[in-house]
Amino acid sequence: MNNTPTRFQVISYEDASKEVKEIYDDTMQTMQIPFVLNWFKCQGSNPILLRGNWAKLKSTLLLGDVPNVLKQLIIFNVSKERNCNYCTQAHGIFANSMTEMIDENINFKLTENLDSPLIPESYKTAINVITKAALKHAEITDQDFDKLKSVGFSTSEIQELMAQADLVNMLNTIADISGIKIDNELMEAQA
Amino acid sequence: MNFNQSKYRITYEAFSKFSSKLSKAETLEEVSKLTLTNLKYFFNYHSISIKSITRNHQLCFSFSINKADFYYEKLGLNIFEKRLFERKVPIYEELRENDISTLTNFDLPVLEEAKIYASYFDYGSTKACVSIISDENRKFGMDDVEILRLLTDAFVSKTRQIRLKSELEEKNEEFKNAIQEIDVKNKQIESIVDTQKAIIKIRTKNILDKNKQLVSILQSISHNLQEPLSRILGLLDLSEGVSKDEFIVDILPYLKESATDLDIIFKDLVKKNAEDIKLLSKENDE
Repeated sequence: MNNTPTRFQVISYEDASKEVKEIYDDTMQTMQIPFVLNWFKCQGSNPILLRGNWAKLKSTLLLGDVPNVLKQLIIFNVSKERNCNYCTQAHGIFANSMTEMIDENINFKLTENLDSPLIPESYKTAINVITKAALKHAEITDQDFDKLKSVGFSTSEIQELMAQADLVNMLNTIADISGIKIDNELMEAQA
Repeated sequence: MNFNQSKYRITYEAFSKFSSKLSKAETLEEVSKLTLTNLKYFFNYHSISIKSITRNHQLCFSFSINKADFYYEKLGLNIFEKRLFERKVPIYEELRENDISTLTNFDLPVLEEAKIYASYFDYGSTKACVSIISDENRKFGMDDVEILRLLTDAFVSKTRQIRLKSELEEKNEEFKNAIQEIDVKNKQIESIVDTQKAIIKIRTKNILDKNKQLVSILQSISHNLQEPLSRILGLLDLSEGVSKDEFIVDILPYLKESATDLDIIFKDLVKKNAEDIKLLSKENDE
């Protein structure tokens, strides 16, 4: 659990420069959420870093061929293993909300059921291998790649999956060292 | 908790993306590749076969974890598909080792308690059979049936659309070829008509020329015969007022002379024009 107070200046939308506002707008439009996440706001004082990190997050997590829910589950799992409170909560909410699209009354939280037989083996294998890649990248072997291939992932998809490992490391690092707290708006949405 | 619904919620995003990309696919190769990429996001399996049957031909798609294949073949059903066609009731049962090779073209790993799930789908003129081989390591369960049904609906609908489009393009090509052939024939007919017109024109001209020649011959005959004939008519007029003796002495010799002249002229004309008349007759006969 990270109880560190915020170490970077958190720049609200109202206080942001025109350049930063444009990036904030893009995050809200792309992620389809009506507010700016603290993870972005804690980088709002440095537009160059913010732009680069947003571009990395957008092209790695939000675009591509691999289902976003799988990527969110990977980010959630690694963050949980690493005890990154902010990312665990935020990406847990994103993953669960994506599986509540059909009927929000059904009491099934995906993040609490990662071993469920409802989840295809391809998802489980990807979550396990990429979690290893994120936490113990030096221990990744050809066998890990073969595991991913054996459940049907192509080379291109494996590259996209592996990119989540370095993305989550960046996400966790910035969230932890900045000391940001989970967004009130996200918690309200989850309640 | 509704098991099927929860499963569908997990695969919802992947299926939405798949449907979106499938709608843009234009070839069976694209459909095959796209389906292979996405099957792993929907459920567990070792091998899937989707056969869509329209009239007497069937389109078969076969997928393993990393491979896909598709081909057309004449109607040939395996034992499970025959059962499906007869009863139309889904099959979910253990699979014998010997039956595996009849269900897939791909080499599968050694399966632990292999199972088959097979289902029949009726889309009017097209019927489809889907067979899935799974085992304990990659279980295909009843909670996967709903997403399989959605997949099959989208898949068969798209492959039918591509096949119909292809047939339409073939028909259009045949139609274009037929039009081109008709154009060629029309040009041949036009050419024949033009030739006939030219022949008719030439023949009409020949007939007119021959008519002119005939008129000229008749004018010539008429002109040459006029003078001795007039003399004979004149002598005959004179003979009305003379006696028989005077006629014999004074008129008959002249009459004989004029008749002889007429005979000579006539023979001469006949001789002169015989060749022309002969030629005209010959051309007319042609």
